[in-house]
Amino acid sequence: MAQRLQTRSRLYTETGAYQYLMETMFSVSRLAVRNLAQHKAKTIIVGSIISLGVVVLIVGNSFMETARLGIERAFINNYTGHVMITGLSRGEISLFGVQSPGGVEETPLLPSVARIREFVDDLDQVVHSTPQLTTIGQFGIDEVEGRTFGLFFGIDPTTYFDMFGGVRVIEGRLPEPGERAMLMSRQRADALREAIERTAEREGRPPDRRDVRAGDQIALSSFGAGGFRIRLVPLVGIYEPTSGEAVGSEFISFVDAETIRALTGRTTGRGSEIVLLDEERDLLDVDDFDLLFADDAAFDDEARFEDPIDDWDLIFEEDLPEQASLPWGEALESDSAGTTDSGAWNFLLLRLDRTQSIPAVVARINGFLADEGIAARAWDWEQAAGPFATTADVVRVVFNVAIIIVGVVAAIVIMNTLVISVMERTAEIGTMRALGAGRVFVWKLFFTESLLITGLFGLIGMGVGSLITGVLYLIGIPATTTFLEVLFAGPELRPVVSWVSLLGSVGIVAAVAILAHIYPVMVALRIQPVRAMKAD
Amino acid sequence: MRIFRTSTVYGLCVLLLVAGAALSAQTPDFDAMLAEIDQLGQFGDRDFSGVYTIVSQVPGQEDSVTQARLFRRDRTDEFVLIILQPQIQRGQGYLQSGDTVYFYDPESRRFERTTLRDSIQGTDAQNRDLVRGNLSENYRVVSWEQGRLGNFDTYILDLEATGTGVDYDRIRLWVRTDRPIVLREENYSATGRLLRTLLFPRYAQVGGQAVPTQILIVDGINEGERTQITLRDPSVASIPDGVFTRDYLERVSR
Repeated sequence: MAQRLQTRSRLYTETGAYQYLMETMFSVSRLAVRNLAQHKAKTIIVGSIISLGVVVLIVGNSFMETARLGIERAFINNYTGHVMITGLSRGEISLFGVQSPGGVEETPLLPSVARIREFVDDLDQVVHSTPQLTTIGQFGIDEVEGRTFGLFFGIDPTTYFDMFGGVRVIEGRLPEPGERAMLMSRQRADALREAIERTAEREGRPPDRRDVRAGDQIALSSFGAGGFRIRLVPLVGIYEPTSGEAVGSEFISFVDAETIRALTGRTTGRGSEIVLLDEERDLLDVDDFDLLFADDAAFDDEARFEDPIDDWDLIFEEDLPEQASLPWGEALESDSAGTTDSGAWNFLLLRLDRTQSIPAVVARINGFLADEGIAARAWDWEQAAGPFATTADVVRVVFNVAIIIVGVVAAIVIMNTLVISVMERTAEIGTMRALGAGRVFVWKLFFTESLLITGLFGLIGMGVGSLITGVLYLIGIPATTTFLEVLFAGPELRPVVSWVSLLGSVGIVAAVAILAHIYPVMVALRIQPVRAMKAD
Repeated sequence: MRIFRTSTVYGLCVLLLVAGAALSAQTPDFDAMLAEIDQLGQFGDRDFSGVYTIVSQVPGQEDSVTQARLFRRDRTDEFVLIILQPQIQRGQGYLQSGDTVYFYDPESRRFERTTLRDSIQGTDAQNRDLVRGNLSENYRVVSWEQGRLGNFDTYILDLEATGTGVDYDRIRLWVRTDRPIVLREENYSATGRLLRTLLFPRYAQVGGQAVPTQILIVDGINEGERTQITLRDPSVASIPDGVFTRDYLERVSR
């Protein structure tokens, strides 16, 4: 050691700084390798922990990254496209409606659909566009007891199935453009069959039907602008999602847009304005509720004790009244409710050339809408996915936190092992210092040792981590619950390693290993060489 | 001294007994009061009918208006509600027959089973607001106090649901002290969140029963959302049996 230090001094004076530096680096490296080799057991223990840390981070990151990409792909390919354009709403809007706390907020209609469509179709990044209506409701076979819930997408078949190809018809056919038709998922058909059987069982009779098939007349009921409504539509086909990644698509039934408009009361000419008496709306403007009870006369009921209508018997003497003989003398004419508004859509969905184009396209469309004064807004697929994406996000955050906790624990173990390892070498540091080694030299030595051990065992960790991820990819991790299906964006997860994940994991572990040296080396350097030597 | 003490103790006891008796005499029988409130809104052997106008206010939107004609027969648990306005809903109807409630859509001419909990035209008003209540069967009074509402002395009763088949777990009622008429009602969730407030400033006495002719419903969750229900042409005249049938709904809206 003494000879080496003398050589260092000589080199510095005789050959200049550069050569000295190179020589120093070489000698430090050689010394570091020798030290690591000399403390084989310790090196293997510390190295194994580093490898394990890298493996945990690589496998964990692969899970997260694969799940994230899977969710993104599932939504973009199957429901939302890359961009959604909607009318404005008070609550959070998504492709599945408006989230309104404690109430029912109608999904707004998209204004100026034709103008917006003209603009977006001219954008280079837009590959496909399709309009859509959405509502939820009940459905069942007409005249058959038993109903189940469903999500109804009112679509234009011409453009919808070009943009979203995740549908495989297993019975019947796809709806034709302009046709009144429904395409139901097999899962919903099974749910309806079960509902029919349950209803029959409850009523103690055999079920009216034991299957649901193409050609059935389906009664849809939903609540919209026209109140509660029922509409009949022929079932033309039953489908299955082509890809297992389309989580939630089994709840969707595709219905022609006209039927959905009629079901939700999207009509033109909704009738004449209703003339109200003052007493029929005067309470709405009262702020101080006590004022409502300020007048004793409000409870002077004497004037109202008499029956206001004298001729009830006359009205009903023919058992059932004619329309015109209803008490209020009005006929009910249901055919005056107006015709459906064929331009009414809730959403315009866009498929772009690539995912990276989303921010630019959304900004461009929103700029156009603002300039034109159109009360609408463009959103990315995550907003369109609404509660589904939020659930997936929450699950992902929980998953990330779990991985981070494991990572932090691994880092602490690595750090602890390294600290003990350095503290054990306090005497060695003291000896080096006594023989003339400067503080910088000692720092360099330990730094180099850290780099070497992290590099070597990090590589091993990368190899093992990739191997484990590869095996998991081949096996596939099954999603045994709906919760996992949402997280995995499909019935199973096949994790894939990315370069970012590989290098990031090694980088994190290397940083931890280097940081772990700072404190113990600093402590060791503060001790007087003589005392440090005695410590052994 | 001992005599004084003994007499004082006796005196206090008597005073306490008298005070207790007086207090007990002043505490109303709330179970009976709830039964009276229920009774006052029920028509027993008589039928009831009237036209309800429901105006709903949502900030930033046009007021929505629904008019409906109600036919009630409490003795057989039947009612028919026919929508008169708006035009788009004209002829839609609800029919309760025993435990079953049907909705009728005149355009498709189809019936659908539904529940009394359904709201009317998406407002804060529910079908059950237009038919009789069952406070005495479903709730018990857990606390009370006296208060004043406008010009009226009231009992303020806190009610708790006795079972699970109710819409609201807790209800607070303001009931007039001179007669069992509810002036204000607050509906709460199980967690104590105010869901909606109902105010009943006007009543009509029809055939000996009290029917609110004006109701204001204030949404407790969505600020600014209010609904007013107004009753006109209330009547207890007899209604033909044929009205409480699916045939009637189909025929009347044809």
